[in-house]
Amino acid sequence: MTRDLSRDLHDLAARTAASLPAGGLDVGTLTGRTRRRRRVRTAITGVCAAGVVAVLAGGAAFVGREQPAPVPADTPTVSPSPTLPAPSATPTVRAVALPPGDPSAPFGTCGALASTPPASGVAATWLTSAGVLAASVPAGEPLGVWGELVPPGDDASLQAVGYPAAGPRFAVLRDGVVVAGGTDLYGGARDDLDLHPVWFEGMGSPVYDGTVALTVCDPGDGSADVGASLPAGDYTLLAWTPVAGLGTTELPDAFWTGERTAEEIVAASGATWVAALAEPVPFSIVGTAEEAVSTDPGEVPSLDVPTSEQPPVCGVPAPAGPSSPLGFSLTTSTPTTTLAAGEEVAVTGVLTAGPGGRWSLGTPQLDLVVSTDGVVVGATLVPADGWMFLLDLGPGTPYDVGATSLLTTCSGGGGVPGTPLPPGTYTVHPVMHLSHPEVWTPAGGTQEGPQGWVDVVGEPFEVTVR
Amino acid sequence: MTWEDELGRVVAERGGALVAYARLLTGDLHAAQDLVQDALVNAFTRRRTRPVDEVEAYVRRAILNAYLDGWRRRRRLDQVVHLVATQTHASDETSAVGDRADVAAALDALSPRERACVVLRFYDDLTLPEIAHRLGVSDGAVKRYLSDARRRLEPLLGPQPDLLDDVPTIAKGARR
Repeated sequence: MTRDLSRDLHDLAARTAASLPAGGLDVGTLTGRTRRRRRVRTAITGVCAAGVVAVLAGGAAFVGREQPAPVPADTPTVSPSPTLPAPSATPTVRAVALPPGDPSAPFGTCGALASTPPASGVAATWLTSAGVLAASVPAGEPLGVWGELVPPGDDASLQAVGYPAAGPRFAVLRDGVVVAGGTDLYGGARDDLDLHPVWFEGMGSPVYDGTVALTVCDPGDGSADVGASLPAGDYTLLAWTPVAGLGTTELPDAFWTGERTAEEIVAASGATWVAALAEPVPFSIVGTAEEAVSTDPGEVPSLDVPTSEQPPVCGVPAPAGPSSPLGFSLTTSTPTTTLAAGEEVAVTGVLTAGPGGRWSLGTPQLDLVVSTDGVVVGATLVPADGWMFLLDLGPGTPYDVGATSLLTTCSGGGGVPGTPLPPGTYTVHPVMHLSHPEVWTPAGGTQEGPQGWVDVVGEPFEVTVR
Repeated sequence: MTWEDELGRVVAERGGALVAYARLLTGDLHAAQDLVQDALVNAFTRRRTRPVDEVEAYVRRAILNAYLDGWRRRRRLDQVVHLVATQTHASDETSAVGDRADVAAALDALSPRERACVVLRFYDDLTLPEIAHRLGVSDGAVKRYLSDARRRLEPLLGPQPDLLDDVPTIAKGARR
C-alpha cells in the first residue's frame, strides 16, 4: 500500500496543533525572557555603527548563499559613548571601543566584515559544524565552543581533503564585524595538517572543544581597546575550516604506512585552500566585567597510568570507580533503577578533559559495564567497524556522552551485542575508554600517553531488572 | 501594538502550528517546545516589530537550524539511539501498516538530516534546490538524504515513489 506521506505529515502536525492550544507555550514566561534579553541588548557601551548588518543565525549570509546588504565604505568609526554616571551603589561602566568595520580586512580577521568572502572561496560541499556550550555568557568569561569538519553525506564522488590538525577557526562578530577571536583552538601555534579520508568509517576529523577568549581583538590601527572584555550584548560565532581537495576519494597507502606526511600529500596535490563554513551561531554576553577571567590550564598530569588492552570481558573484576586517570573525570545521571524485561536504560553524562593542555584521543560510545558481586557479567559496548570517534579537547573542557541500551552480556565482537541479562539486581559502571591519548602544550608540543585504553570510570549505580 | 502584544498574538495564533512543525523534526514534544521558545525569544529580542507572517517564517527557519545544530552536537549519541530505533521498528513493521500514527514512528527511523529533508519536502513542499539552500548543502546531498530516507521508510510505510521526484514551486505562504 502506498502511503500519502504529505497528507500523513500534515495530519500529524494538525493533530499535534489541535491537541495543544498555543502549542502549550507560556506567554508570560516567554515575555519575561524576551524582556530580559532586550534589556541586555540595550545596555550597549559604545557599539552601534549605522548601516552595519547583523548576521542572523536563521539566515546565513556568506558567499554562495544569500548576500547581506553591503556595508557602506564610509562606515563610521565606533566612538565610545560617554562614561555613564555612577550611582553610589553601582560601579561605573567603562565604555569599550570595538574594532570598526574594515571592508579591506581579510575574511575572519579582526575588523573584517561578515560580507567579506574568503579570499580563495568557499568549499562547495564540505562544511564545518560548530556551536557554543552556552547561549549566554557572563562578561569576562571565555566562550565554550565546539567545531568539526563534516562531509555533506555519503557520496562516492567526494574527494578526500587536507585540513589543519588544529581544527576549525573561530571568530566572534558583533553587528557584522569581527571583534574577537579569528584563530583556532591552538591559538595558531600548531601548523601541521591532517587528512580526512571520507570513507574511513567513523574516523573523520576530531570534534574540537575549547574556549574562545571574549576580549577585543587588535585591528592594528589603534582604534580599539585591545584585550578589554567584550561588553554585554548580542554576538555571533563564526567558524570555518580551511580545506584542500586532494583530487582523490582514496588516500595513498603511503599515508597509512607513514612513508609520506599529510603535508607532503597536500603539497603534491597542488590543491587550493578554501573555507568550509559553519552556520553562524548567536550568543549573548551579559553583565559587566572590568577584566577578563584568566584561565589557567594547570599542569599536565602523569601520563604513566594503567591501561586495559580491550573492552571489558565478562568474568574479570568490576572496574573501580569513580576514577580520574590523566585528570579526566566522568559524571553521569542516575537513570531509573528498575527496568522491565526488554526495557533499555538511558544514561547521559559529561566527560571532562584533563588539565595542562589539549588532549587528542579516540573513544567509542559510553560503555555501561555490569557486575554482580564485583565480577563483570555484561557490557553494552559492541565492538564494530566505525565505532570509534576522535576528540580534541581543551584542558578541563566538558564533552557530552551517553548510552541507551539493553543491559546485556559481553559482546563477542563483530558488531553483535550480547544477550539480555536475566532478571536480577546489578551494579552498572559507566566507563569511557580513551584510546591512545596524547596531550599538546605550547612549550612541549605533543606528548604521547600510554598505548592501549585508559578507562575513566563514573559513579556506579544499582539497577534491578524485573 | 507593542512587541509584547505581538508576541502574545503569535503564540496564540501560530504557537500550535510552530510546535507541531518542530515536533515533526524532533519527534519529541518537549524538545519541540524548547526549540520554539528559543526561536521566539530570539525573534522578539530584535527591536523592529514585524508582521506575524514574517515572524513565523523566521521562527520556522530558526527551528530547523537549531534542530540540526543540536543534532550535530549530539551526533555521536544519536548514532546509538538511531540504531536502537531502527531495530525496534523493524520488528514492528508487520503491525504498522494502515495506522497513520506509524508515520511518527517511521520518522524516528530516519537520521536528523534525512528527517529534515522529508519534512521540508512533504510538509513545507519545497523543491530539491530549495531544500538544499535551506540546509546549506548541495542538491546532490539532498537527493542522497531523500534516497536513504526512502530506503528506510518503504519497509514501514509502503512504496514512496514521490520521495525523489522534484516538484514545481508551489504558492508560498499557505498556512496549514
